[in-house]
Order: sequence, then structure tokens, then C-alpha cells
Amino acid sequence: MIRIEYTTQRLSLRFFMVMLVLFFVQTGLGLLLSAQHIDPTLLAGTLSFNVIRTQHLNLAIFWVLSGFIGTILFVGPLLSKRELAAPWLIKFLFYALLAVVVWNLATQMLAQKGIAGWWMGQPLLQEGLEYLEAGRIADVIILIGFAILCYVVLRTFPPLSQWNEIHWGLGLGVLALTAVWVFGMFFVERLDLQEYFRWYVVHYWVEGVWEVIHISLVGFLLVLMFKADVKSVGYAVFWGISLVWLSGLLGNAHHYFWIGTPEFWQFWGSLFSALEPLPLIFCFWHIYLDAHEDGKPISNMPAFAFLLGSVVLEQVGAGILGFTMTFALTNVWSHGTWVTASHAHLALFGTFGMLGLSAAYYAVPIMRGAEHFDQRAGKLAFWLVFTGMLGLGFAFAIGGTIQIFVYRTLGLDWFGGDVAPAMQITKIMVPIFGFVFAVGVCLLVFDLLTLGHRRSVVSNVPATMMAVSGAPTRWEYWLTGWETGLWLLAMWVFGGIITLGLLSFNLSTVQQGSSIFPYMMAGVGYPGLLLVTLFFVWRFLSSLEARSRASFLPLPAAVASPAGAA
Amino acid sequence: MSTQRIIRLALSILASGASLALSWPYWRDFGYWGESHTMWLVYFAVGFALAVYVFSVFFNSLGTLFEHDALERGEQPDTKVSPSTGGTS
Repeated sequence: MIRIEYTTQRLSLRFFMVMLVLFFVQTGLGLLLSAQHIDPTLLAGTLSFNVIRTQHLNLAIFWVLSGFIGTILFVGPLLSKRELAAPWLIKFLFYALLAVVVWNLATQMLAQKGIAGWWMGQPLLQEGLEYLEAGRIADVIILIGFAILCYVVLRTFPPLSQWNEIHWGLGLGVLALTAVWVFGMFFVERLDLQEYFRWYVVHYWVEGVWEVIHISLVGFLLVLMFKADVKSVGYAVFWGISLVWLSGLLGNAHHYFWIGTPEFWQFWGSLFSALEPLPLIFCFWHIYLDAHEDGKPISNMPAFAFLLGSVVLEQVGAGILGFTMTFALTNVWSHGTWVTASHAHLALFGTFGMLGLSAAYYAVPIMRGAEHFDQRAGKLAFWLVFTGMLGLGFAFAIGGTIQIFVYRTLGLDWFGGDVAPAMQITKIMVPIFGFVFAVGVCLLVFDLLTLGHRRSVVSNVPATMMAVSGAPTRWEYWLTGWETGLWLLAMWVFGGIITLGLLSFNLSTVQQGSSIFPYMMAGVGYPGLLLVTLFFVWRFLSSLEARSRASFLPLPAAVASPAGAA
Repeated sequence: MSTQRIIRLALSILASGASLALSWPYWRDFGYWGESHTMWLVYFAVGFALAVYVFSVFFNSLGTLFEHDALERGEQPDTKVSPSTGGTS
């Protein structure tokens, strides 16, 4: 593990800590929401469902951004080989972030009383645009915050002529982050037009800018963790970014299907957002290639586990589940249902949240001088949040399938109490898996907040070297490229089954009231996809854990699989 | 054109064809077709060509990624405890 090289890297620590606190609060609100789904009268009028849901979404954005800022501040000096520019501005940015989070949480409560703070044609306190609920005052402060981040990053980076692909990725990322935010900063009376601008912010963030920042940061974390070659990582980053924009810019049209825009968007949105998983394959393969560059033990397993979780859930939650519902013919059924919530949870927390947690597990021990920290809590926390989130994805997906059939196909009344009883079992599953997730969150928040401050296992031997001894099982043998390709293929096969299940809602037999086909496809597809994901990550991490065994033996060449299938 | 390029192009056409098929408003009784069928055909043609291009870019760059990896492994002394994982797509 490297030691901290630049003093200003320490400024990232406060952002990581805020990230953890916001994550903790957001998880608590998520549990409350799942309880309100079971009992809609719970705290109604005090903490109403719609307002709490808004807080849950807004906090997700805030804590992910905190993680991004923390990670960028930590790796910035390492990328630039000099201290961060304008540390005082970074301190100001930190307090501005705290102020805007508190302000936003407070002003969203005004929605219960119908107060938006209209003045000069702008909603200054809160506005009802999903994901962009902050009022104009908060919008302006956020824009200033982004501008500060741009200034710090671009001033810290070396001259343009010395930039590699990771510099370009992060540089373009922070500039675009700021630029697209402007689209959400003015009120448009026509709702369909307003929706265009809303999606310019939301879609171009998550499927454009954030993805670019994500690819760049994953690339650089791999360089740090595995001493991977910046050139080869840069190659994957370059093509990843290119494909994100080749597919994602037109892919935004998958949000235009049902908001009163011209029909041609249904074709363009369907076709190009179907191409959006392509860049994610680069990330997936690169984490495999870099982790298998050599056979050395992983010195910081929690950091790597969360990084692997981020890339795998990006593939599964964003790529595959996104693909299943991105066609007009499947989206017409899935939009606005729990099926979308399944995709959203796995994609947003999985891709961006886990990246921040990975970076925190990498950076915090270095900044606190706890190089040989006890990794057991981190590893357990990873498995709890990972399985909890997969379980949540499953509950939302099955619940959403039932919801589509009962609500959209049979046309039963949402408010007449017909839909909720049909979804009851899955509504109970959500808080159960949510509880597993929350236990993991509590554990990792406690672990990271106190890491280096509490008594933990400290020895001259890295924690990974203290693994169980003994001969590795077949499950722990070296993971070949061929096998990795098969795991990926299996994920996509189940993704295909889910897609056909959603398409089947268009069949006349289903329209006439037969749920057999969509239920069967969802019943096979979702558990299959999520279990393959779970087992693949288990297999991947087991093979890495086995490296720390002194008695580790390679798979005999005679039975080794052919390598590097893509 | 090398065999590899032909295979990649064929895969791109196949994948774009599948994406196009899933984007086709057939199952909804063409309820969402625009008023001008000619324009729809233009969308399909242009969209299909663009999709083939994006897939080709993807296959070619992914292939190069694995070639890079194989080259790097070839340059390094073999310290690994397993067979090489490099290769081409």
C-alpha cells in the first residue's frame, strides 16, 4: 500500500466522512419508505411518503457526489504529481456542501404545505421536478460548488499537453458535470419541454458525465491497486468514454417515450440506449485483466471488493437491467413501476455508490496511517450490502412484474386497493432485504469512521496474509478469461429472458388476462441474473483471497481452460 | 479485409439487427408509427448504419484491448501462477 504523498490529499477525508453520514441517513429513510409501503398511514402528514422519497433520492445524489469529490481530491495530486490548487477553496466547498444539504433537506419539507417560494417566476425553495427537487437558491449554490471543483481540478492538473486519458476523462467529466447542471436551472411552463431539460441533467449525468468520471476513477484506482500500466488502462478509459457518448447522447431519448414528444424518439431511444451497455464491458474486462496481471495477494481486500462490486453492478444493474427496459416496447410497461426501481437501486448504488465506498476503503487507511488494518469488518460489510442490494433488486423486480400485470394489463385501480394486495409479498421482502443492507451500512460506516482510531489487528503481516491456510478448493482456483466470459454470457442470457418477459406483455394472450408467460420469464430471469451475479463475485473474490495462501497451487495446465475469450 | 474484420462486421450487423428488431413497433399494431412511413424507413436505415458503426468500434477496440494485454504479458517475465489470460475476441 502506498503512503500519503501530498498533504492536500487529506482534504478528501472530510468528504468521505460526510459521504458516510449521508449514506447512513439515506438508508434509514429507505427503510422508512419500505415500512410506509406496508402501512401507508405510518407518519403520514408528519413525514409523508412523497417528501421522504424525495429526500431519499436527493441524498443519494449528494452522497455519491461527496464520494466523487473525495475520490477526485485524493487521486488529483497523484495524477498531477503536485499539491491540490487552492486548498482554501476546497474547505469552502466542503462547508457549502454541508449548507446546501441541510438547506435542501429543510426546504423539501415545505412540499407538504405546498410552499415552493415563487419569486420572479422561479421556485426558490423547492420544485417538484423528480431528482432535481432543490429550489433555485440551492441550484445556484450547487453550480458555484461545481465551478469550484472544476477550478481546483483544472488548476491542479499539469498543462494540457501532458494529459493522459485519465486526465481527459476527469477534466471533461467535471466540466460537463457543471455544464449540464445549467439545464435544470430555469422554469419552463410547457411540461414536455421542461422534461427534455430535466433529462438533459439527469440522464446526461448518470449515463454521460458520471459514467465518464466513474470509468476514469475506476481506471486510476486499478492503477493504484495493481500497479497497472496507465497506458493500457488509459486505452480502456478512452474507448469507454467514446462509447458512452456514442450511445448515451442519443440514448437519452428512452426518457422521451411517454411525455408527449414526437414518435421518432421511440426508435432512436430504443436503438441507441440498447447500445449503452457496450462501454460497461470495457470496465468489466479491465478489472478482470488488471486483477490478474500477476498472482500477488490483494493488500486491501475491502477496497477491491467494493470496486469489483461497482463494476459488476454497473454491468448488471445499469447495463443488463437497463437494457431490458430500454426499448419502447418493454418500457411502455415498465416505466413508473417497481421494475424501474430495481434497475435504479442496483445501478445508482451499485455503480456510483460502491465506487465512493471503494475509494474510501482505499484512502482512509492511508490517511490515518492504518496500513495493516483489520479487514474483516469491511469484507463482511461488503457482503451484507451486496447481497442486501441484490435482494432489494429481486423484490422490486418481481413486485414490479406483478404491478405491471395487475395495474397496466388488467387495468385494476391503483387507488382502489387492488394493486397493493397483489404486491404484498414483495412489499414485505423489501424491508427484509433492506434490513440486511442497513446492517451492512451500519457496519461499514462504523468501520470507516473509526478506522485507525480504534484498536484493531495490527501486525507486521498484511491482513490478507492471515487467511485460512490449507489447500484451495476448485472454487478458489485462478479465474481464467474464458471462465469470466462465460459468467458474463450467463448474465446476458438471463437479461435476454427478462427482456422477452417484458416484451410478452404485448402479446394478445397476456392482454386477455394470462400472466403465465411474463411471470415465468421474470421468475427465471431475475433470480437467475442476480444469483449468477452473486456467485460470480464470490468466485472472483475467492480466487483472489486464495492468493494469500502459502500453499496456493495453479490449476494444472492440462486442465486449464482456453484463455481470454471475449 | 481480414477474416477477423469480416467476423466483427457480421457480428455488428447481427447485433444491430437484433437491436433494430427490438425497436420495431410490430407488437403494438404499429400504434406508434409516425404519419410518414417514408421517414420511418429513413430512421431505420440511418439508425441501423449508426448502430453497426458503434458495434464495430466496440468490437475493434475490445479486440485491441486484449491484444495490448497479450503483448504486455509477452514482454514481462512470467511471474504468474497460472496460464496467461490474454487473447483476442
